[in-house]
Amino acid sequence: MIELRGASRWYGQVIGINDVSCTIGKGITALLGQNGAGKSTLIKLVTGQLRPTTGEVTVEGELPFANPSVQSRLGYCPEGDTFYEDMSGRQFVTLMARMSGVAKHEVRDRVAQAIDLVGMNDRADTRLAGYSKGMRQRIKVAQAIVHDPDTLILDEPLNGLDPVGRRQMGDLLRAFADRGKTVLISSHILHEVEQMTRSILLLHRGRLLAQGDVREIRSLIDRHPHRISITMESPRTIGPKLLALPSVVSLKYDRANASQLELETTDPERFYSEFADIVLQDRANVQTLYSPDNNLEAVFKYLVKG
Amino acid sequence: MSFGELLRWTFWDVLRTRKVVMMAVLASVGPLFAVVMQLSGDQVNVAGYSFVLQVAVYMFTLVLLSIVFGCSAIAGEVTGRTIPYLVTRPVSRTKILLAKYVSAVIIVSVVSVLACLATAAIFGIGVIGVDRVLKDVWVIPFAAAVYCAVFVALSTLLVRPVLPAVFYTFAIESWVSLIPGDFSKLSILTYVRVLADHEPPEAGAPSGILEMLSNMSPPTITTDQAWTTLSLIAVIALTVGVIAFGRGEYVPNEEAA
Repeated sequence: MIELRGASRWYGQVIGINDVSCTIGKGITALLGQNGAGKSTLIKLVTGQLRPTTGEVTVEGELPFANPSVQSRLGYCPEGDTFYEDMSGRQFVTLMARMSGVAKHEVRDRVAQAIDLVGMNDRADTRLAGYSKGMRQRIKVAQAIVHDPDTLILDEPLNGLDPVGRRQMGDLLRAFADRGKTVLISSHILHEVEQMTRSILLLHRGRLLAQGDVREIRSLIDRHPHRISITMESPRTIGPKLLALPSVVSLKYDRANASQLELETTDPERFYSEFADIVLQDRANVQTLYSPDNNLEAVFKYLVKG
Repeated sequence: MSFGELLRWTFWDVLRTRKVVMMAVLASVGPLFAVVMQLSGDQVNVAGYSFVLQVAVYMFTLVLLSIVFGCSAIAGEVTGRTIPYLVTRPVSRTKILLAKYVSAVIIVSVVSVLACLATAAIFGIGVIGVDRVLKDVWVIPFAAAVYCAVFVALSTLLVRPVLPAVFYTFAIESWVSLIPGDFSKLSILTYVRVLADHEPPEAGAPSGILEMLSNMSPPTITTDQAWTTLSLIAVIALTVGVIAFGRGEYVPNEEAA
């Protein structure tokens, strides 16, 4: 279990995290926040790279800073993708396995297993310098899980992965968590981690903005009027029908783009269902449909204002 | 992870292609100097060997290699952004630092001793004398141990330690010996010179103010004092390095911001 009690970290005048208190238990917890929100600082505090300026951070009841006892149970996948570039992926994972305390006689099998789990069997023996971003992410995850740690901390591990890679990574982390391990994963993309876990921590400008089940936070957001932008042929024909829906609060046509309209709804799910019916009835040709509010930035704006 | 394994890894890290080329270039300076002197017929004797050793090997090859390998020990991991892999592992930071130090000392010593032997071979070991060469062969590793300790310590304290290290060795060390008084005692090179005990270059045409300044502060350090002082410098520097690395937070600046 990871615990932060009133933890703050300042870099001179710059704030990293400010008075954060939370408990992270077994299973997957997503650490969400925009760039500069303090996610990496929180992760560095938990992995013992930094000490809190005030407050306390513990992992399984121990202070993590330069503490081999904690570090032997931690697996860490850093955000940056720099390595010892002249090594092959296998050499790198082997070095990290030995440094993490994997016994000499076990190391070969453990490394092979970790490399297999991240799907890097075919490229593990080529130099890291030639790896793509996605391959680097996979090798970073392999070195983090090679010693089968109790707690796995991953800083933006889905960056650079293609959709298939993301799904594989999600499956891998879920399987890891299903074995009773703690997984903390940071991301700035809400839907990316929503598929992996419901438990989230939301950081904004160094402060913990929300913690808990993503669905509860979603429902909070959904009560806030959502903007939905639609591009379609003849929007003025279908516009009055949309405005008549009880879930629609307002509607406006885009003067610059005759095929676009934007509306506001207080119940997005209901609107999407009703909208589908209208489109089918009128055989309308919808080209795009998206919600500018359905992203993390909008969540922050809403929660900060709320 | 055992110290031996760590040492093997640090060796591997040090002996990368680009660094090997750089080592070869630095090691060839002394022998090239010797070849030029041989061809020009200038000081083809013990004095010539002493001159080349002092200027090319002690003041250049050994010092520059110590800067390269010492300063990159920890600061290189920070600027290369690989430091998180080291400081989040259950390996004692002292062990990591000492492994990096020992590998730096061994490599700097081996390359500098090879440069010394090649220089001696060019001048002719028979002319110089085996004892003279052997003395350099064991003073060089000691000097490497001291310089590397200082630069490794510097690399735990500064993110970019190369500039201060170069400033110290090529600005301060070169000039303090010319300042009247005891300022020369601030230079590691002064003590190394006492241990190496090379003959001063043969008297030639007066070099003006530099020679005058040099004569105003004749060396007053004994061999025992040199041994003790250099040993103390190495021990203190390593202690500082171990404490700094053990307690320091190593996060690349741009990440912290």
